[in-house]
Amino acid sequence: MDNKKEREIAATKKIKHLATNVVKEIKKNENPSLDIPIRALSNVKFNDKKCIIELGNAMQKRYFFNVSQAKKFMQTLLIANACKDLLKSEKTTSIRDLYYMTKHTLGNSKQNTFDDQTESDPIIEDLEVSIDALREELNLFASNRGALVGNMKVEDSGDLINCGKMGSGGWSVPSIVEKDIVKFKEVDAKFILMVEKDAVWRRLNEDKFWKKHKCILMHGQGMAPRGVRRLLYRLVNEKKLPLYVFVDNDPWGFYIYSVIKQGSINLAYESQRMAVPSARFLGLSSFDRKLYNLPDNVTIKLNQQDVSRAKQILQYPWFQKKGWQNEIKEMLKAGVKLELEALSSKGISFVTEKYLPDKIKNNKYLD
Amino acid sequence: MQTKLTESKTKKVSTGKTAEDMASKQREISISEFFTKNRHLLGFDSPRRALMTAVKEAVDNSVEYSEPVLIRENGLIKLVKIGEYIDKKIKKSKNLRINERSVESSSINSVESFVYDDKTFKMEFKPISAIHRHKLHNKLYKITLIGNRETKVTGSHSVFVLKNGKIQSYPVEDIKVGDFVVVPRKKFHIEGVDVIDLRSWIKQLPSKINKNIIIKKVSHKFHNISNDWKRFDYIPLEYFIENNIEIPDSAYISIKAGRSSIPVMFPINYELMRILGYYASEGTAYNQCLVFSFGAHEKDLINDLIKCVGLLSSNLTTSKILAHKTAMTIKLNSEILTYLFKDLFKCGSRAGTKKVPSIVFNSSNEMQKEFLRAYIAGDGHIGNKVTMATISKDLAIGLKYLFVLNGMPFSESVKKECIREFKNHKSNCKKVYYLYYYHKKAFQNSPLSWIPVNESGLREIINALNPKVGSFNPHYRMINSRNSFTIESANADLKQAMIYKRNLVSDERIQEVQNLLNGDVGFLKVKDIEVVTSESPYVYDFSVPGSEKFLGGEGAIFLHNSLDACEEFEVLPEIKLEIKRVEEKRYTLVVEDNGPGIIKEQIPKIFGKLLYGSKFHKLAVSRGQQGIGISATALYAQLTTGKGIKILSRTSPQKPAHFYDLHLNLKTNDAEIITDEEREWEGKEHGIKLQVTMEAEYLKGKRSVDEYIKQTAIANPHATIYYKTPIDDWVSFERATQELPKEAKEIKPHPYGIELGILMRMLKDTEAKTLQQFLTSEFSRVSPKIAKEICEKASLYEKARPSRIARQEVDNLYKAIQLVKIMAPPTNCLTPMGEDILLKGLKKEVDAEFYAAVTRPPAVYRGNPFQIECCTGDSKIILEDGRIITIKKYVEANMFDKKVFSMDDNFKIKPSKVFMVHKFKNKHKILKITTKSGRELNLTANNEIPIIENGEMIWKKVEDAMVGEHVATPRVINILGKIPNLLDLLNPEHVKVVEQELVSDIMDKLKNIYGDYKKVAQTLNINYDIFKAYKRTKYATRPNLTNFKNMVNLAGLNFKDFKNKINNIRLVDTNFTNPHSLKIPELNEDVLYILGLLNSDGHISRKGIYFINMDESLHKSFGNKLYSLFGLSVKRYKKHESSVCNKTLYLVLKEIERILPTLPDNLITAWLKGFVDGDGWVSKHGDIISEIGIATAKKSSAELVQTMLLRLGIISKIQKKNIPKKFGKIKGREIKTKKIQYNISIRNLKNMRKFHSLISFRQIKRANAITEGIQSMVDICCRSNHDVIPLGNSLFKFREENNLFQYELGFSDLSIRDIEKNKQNMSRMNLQQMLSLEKFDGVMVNRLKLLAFSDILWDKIVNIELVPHEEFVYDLTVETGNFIANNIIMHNCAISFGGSIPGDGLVQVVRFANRVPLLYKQSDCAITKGILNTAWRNYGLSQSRGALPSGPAVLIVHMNSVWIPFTSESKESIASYPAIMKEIKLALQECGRKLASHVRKIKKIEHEQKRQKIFELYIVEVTDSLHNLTGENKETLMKHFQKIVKQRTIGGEDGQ
Repeated sequence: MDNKKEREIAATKKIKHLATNVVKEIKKNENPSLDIPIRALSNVKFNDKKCIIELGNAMQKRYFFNVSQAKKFMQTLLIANACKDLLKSEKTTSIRDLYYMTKHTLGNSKQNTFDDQTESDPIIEDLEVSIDALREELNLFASNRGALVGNMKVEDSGDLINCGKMGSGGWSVPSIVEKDIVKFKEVDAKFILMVEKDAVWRRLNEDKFWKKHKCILMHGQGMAPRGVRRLLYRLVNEKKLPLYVFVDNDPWGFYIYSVIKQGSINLAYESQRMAVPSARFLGLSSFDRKLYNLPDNVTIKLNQQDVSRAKQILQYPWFQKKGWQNEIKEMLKAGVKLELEALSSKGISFVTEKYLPDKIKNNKYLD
Repeated sequence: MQTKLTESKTKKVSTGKTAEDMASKQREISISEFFTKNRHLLGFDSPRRALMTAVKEAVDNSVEYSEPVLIRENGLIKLVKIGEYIDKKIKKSKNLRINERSVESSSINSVESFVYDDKTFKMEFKPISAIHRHKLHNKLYKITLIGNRETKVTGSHSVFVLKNGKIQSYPVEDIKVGDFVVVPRKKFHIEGVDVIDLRSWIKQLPSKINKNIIIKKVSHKFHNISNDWKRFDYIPLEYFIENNIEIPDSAYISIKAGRSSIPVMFPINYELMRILGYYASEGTAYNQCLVFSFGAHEKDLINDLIKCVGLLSSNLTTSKILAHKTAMTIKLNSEILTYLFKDLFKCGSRAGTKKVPSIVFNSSNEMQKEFLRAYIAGDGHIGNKVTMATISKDLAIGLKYLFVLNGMPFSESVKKECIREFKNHKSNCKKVYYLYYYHKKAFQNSPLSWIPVNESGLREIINALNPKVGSFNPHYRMINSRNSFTIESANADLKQAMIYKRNLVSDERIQEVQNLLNGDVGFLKVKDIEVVTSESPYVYDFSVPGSEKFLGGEGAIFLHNSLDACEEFEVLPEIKLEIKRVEEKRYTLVVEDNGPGIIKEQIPKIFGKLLYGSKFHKLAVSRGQQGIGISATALYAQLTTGKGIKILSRTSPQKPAHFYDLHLNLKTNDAEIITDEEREWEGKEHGIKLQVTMEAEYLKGKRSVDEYIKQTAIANPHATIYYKTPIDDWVSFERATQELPKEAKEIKPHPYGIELGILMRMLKDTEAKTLQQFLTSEFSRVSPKIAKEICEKASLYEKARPSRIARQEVDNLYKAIQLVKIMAPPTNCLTPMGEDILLKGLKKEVDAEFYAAVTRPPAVYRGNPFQIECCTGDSKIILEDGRIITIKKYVEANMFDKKVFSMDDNFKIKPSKVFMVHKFKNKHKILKITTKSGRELNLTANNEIPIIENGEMIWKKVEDAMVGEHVATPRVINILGKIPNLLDLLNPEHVKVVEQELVSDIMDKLKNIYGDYKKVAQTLNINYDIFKAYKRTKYATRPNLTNFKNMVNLAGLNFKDFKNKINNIRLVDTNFTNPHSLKIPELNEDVLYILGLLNSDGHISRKGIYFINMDESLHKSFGNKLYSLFGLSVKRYKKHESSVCNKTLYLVLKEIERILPTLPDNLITAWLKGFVDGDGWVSKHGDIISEIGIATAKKSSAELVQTMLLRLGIISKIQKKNIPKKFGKIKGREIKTKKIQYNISIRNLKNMRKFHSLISFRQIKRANAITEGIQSMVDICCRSNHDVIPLGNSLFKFREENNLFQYELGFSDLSIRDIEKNKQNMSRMNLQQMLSLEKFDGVMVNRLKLLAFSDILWDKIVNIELVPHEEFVYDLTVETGNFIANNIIMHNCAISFGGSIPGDGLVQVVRFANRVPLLYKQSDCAITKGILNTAWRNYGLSQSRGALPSGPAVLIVHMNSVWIPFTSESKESIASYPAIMKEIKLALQECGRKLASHVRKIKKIEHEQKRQKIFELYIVEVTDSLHNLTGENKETLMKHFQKIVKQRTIGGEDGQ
């Protein structure tokens, strides 16, 4: 717990430093500003050696006396203030909570400090980047998303949980899975299977795929949340387990895989502690259609957005491996995408009994 | 037409009819057929459009006749004999015309006539356009008015007479004794000249005198002149004339032998006026000198004259000669002055020939009076009225006009020649003219200040306005018994009557009478009319366009110019249009104008022939263009209803009007006059009235007749249009300008615009002998040189005969013309409206925030010049948060977290919360309420105010409220003020703590704690060097208050303890270059007393604080107090002025002034003490004080004092007073002052006592007066009729409940009875006294108690009047449902202003061609296309592709050309020739740019305000966060922020 306290003090100091700089500028009668690293493709580098996406050094100045930035400036300070209070009182809270904590009406106007949580979330990220402190260090957590099941016991905030006996729902992965909260006790697994969708995860769970193949079965309900990604990172690094990712055959699925593997553009600053460069792409591959004789009627035509997204991904430096280029090009060529559920057309347990074992066994994955 | 005729030729030829038969048949068919087949071309395709077209034709053709030339120059005011003058002018005239009735006319420039305005009756000068004279045809009349004003006019000549409430012109023949004639009444302001330049005058003198004139005092400026000239300092005038040298303006002139000289820039001053005045009365001019004869006893006059002469020019000499015992002669020896008086000033030389010098008329009103004063001193006798006598008729007339111009009432009489005998001496006495001037006291007796009640319509109106309130005002009783009222009381009565306006009289009617009363003209009764003989064979006349009147006659009477001599119709058009519904789809159209009318011979041509027009052949701008319409209308009418057209026409007032009933003969295409009879046409001197019934449909909306009329009004602001539809009543579009459009010139065609066929025809028709001559004479802009060039290019011999040029050669010629560069055609053939006229028209009909107009320089298409005019009006929607009045500010600045004062159910005044604020568009009248105590408030008519009736308060609509009723106003306002520390009022950054000891003390302490200064300075964030300097005694820097506070805090001490120790501060505002230190006292009563003194009798400025008063004791106490409070010594300047120059004090006082109303009562009292010591007074009647008053010049201070007095519970009354002119003398000159003063008066004893005990005076004299007065007064002396409670019936109920008789209440039973009948009101004091007597029972007693001890003063309404309309009104929703505005309690409403065009939807496009609105076929039109093709987005209006721009704007485009290429005969749209399109676009773009800059400005302001608002909102959040995060002081942050905001928003540049 000392660790936690130190972390809190450090974070508080960083926040205060940020504010003091602003005050200094105000006292000089200057336009107060905040330096915020840019979180966009333009300021993201793919580190070939580490195989992760890293944040560059480009900074964006956020001025108060600028109509388009004033509100964000104010919001940043509000969030910073709230975080400081959180740290001071040694409580953690969800980012939704924080949104409500900082939301109020401005003066006599009809304006609110925040209109929507989508407004406050990026601000939190801004704050994280600019003071170089992780959300967890600010005592913030997101809502639980994603679940896990497998032959493993964990200690979560002091409670011992047997992840093999979690019924059909599995253990819901918390947003903060730092060492001081989640501790791995007994892990008996050969690999981790990360599934995009919970529907497919349910099928695998119901078929006790994890028991049969001794694995840890996880899903992230679409784009994997930070908790899931951090947990994956820890499992891979601490328990040295290989990680397979099983996603839809569409540009979005590919990107989910790439986020798990190399990190995201938006949270590039966290890649260091979240990206799992060793992750392997198990499917669905564009070539699976032929390989497994999937009927044509389960395919979905690519729409305009899919095509442009696919083309975008094609340009990303971390998709430049030949296999991936082929993969994406094949999808564009065929003009169709596949959902994981499409495999059910070959029989309800085709996934568990045929497809996955085949792929894992024969190393039919993309790196 | 021609082609149509051939087309419709019948195909059957074989019937054997003769060619003649067929030809006549052809015609018959063709006309009706042509019409029916081509209705759409002519604009008769639907009943709706038919009406439109008919209206259009009728209106267009009436406006057209009036295109005069107007020129105006500044002239000298002269009094001339009209005959002499016109004879002279006509003799010289080059443009003399004589018409068939042998009227000689000549147009004339730069002469103006003195007229009054028909609407407002204000007097002004108007240009005369022409003069006329003609032989006397009929009798000559002499009219004599009361006071013996006379004038001689011909019988048909008109004068203006007041009849039936209107001023109308009547021929003299019709005037009867007893009629009232219009004459000038009020003073006419004349600016006057200060100096006249005699240089041009002396040069024009006959050479006999001319050569003797020498120029003095300038020889030193010339070198090549004879030594003699230099020695005696003179140069002959000849030298200047010969060498053509300008005489320097410092020169003096004299005539050789004479010693005295006068300046060449001759001053027109009071001295000259006096001399001229004395001369007019006593002077005689001889050859070389002026002589004034006085009685020997008239020493004052003699001395004054000598003094004046000396002041006029130091080189003038006078000599006194005692002619005999009783006569003293003053001789003014100046040949040049004598000559000046005789020749230039035209003073006349002897008693019988004297005149009022022309120069007097051209000097200012004051100087004119000076002249009169001097004249009266010489010849006048001052008694009840001033009597003047002269034997010079000219002088008498001149004097009368001087009286007229200065608004001085007078009368006159004449004493005929007689022989007087005196002690056996017989002497012939000449005819003597007596003038009587009614000065101040007798002013009311002058008939000029009276108005006839009957003739003016006053009686009718007052009776109509007020059928029953007669008893209210004593004047009303007289209205039926008196014949005339003084104008003053008539005005007052009318105002009274207006309050109870019933709707029996129209507003216009009232306005007319009010104008009569407020106008500059008066009315004199005709005393006598007689026929006289004329001295001259001619009679004379002026044309004054737009006014048709002039001031004339020996007695200065307004005369109508007689149009019998004026054939030019330079009148401002006035058109009446009426559409009447006869039955379904059948309407009658009546159009009336005031044009020249038409003569019988023209009628069949105009109305019969389809293609007859006066405009076809002429290349000049005119309206109707083809002139086809009215006949088509007639035809259409006849075809659809079978009825002909009815015409009433009058060509001159001498001739009767003619009525014609017209039928078209379709066979002959001729008009047949069925009826022709003479008719009476009342009130119309000339003009035409058409009546036509036809199948039509009247609809409202776009493209309706209504719209057409409105647009016509915009394009023709010089015309007045009256318009009546089947649905609405008469609407009038008043003219916005008196200027007539410029007269269009006819031009020859430009060669570029000619077509081949026309060229051929012209070659055939020309009278020119050679080709060159043909080209130069038949075309415009073709010089012989160009003609030659054309011929060369066409390889034609320039001397060839035009008629012999072959077909092919013409072609060559045509081509050659296009090749040669020819100047653009002259454009004086155009009559553009001009930007200002366009704006005038637009402003009149469209209410907008912004107007811009553009006139393009004329351009040429196909050789025809044209011009584009364009205009946009932009709405105020963008500007909704414009300037503000207080409630508006409150509403719009979101200040509603602050409470407002309101009245609760118990009649107590207390602050209440505001729940909501409102802003409405006002749909109601605005009324202004004035109460007895001088409070004023503007309210919408439907707003409610609390009125007391029978002891009960009811909410009554303002429009139902009556004068005499009592409205609730606050009697006391209780504000718990607080005393701020003076230091807190000032910006701590600007305040420096000067107390060296204090500072160094703290520094020592800090050093003890922290070791050294450096560390301390660092912690405090103060520069170390500066910090060190705090300790120095010399050249020391001092910490500002913020720094000092930080230091104190750092030392661990409480700043509050130190606040009191700081005695000296200094301000270093950036604007102060040299701040002085100042001792800071507590904000105590003395400070406020000083401020009060300064607010009343001093002034506070950056430059210094001044106190100006005559009372020594006040100066003493002012000085002492300033010294003891601020440590400042006062400088005394003269006896009455104390001053101190301290900028810091200035700032401090200004701050206190600002927060004055928030201070507690004791400080308010102190301020009032100061104020009354400066400006207060006590007026006493014997021992009794009648009034305590405070006078101030500013309304705002008066209102402040009233409110402050109210805080103390003293009720006062504000009265506005015009202080009459005061005469004072400074340096020998009389100085006049005039000012407006607001008196705050306190009258009631209770209030006076309160005043005495709380405020009183400190000057011994006044203090004694008030103390003695108050002591000697008993309650009975001043039973106030001010603080009263109208109990009425409630007192009766109260009595009933308690079973009491009237006398049992302790007052006289009579007065109680009166109170109960609402005839009298009980004063608050009496009511309180009554209620304290006994224990009463019942419900009423509680109500009475509430009333007796309420905070409400029931203020009597003394006036309710209508004020101009306001666009927006504001309102507050308060918890009690009412609030206090302008010290009147009111029910949720107040006002502001604005104006707007509907802002959504497309821009409204208004098109004009030659001032005619185009309504149909908008999309075809070049104008529309031009608008579509303009990129309006660049100019701030949104516009979707291929559509009109949208936004709150009206866009007007006017095309003016000698030939407008319409796309069809119905003249609805302009063809899009590229040249026209280009010009339209350019005009629109220019207009757009003007609009854009306006829109940008508004948007910028809006944007800035938005920005600032956003920042202000966010700053609070940011400061809070930062404070929380860093612990930084919120206020400091806030202050910095505000500073940055100021820098970065309005005024500063953009943040990033």
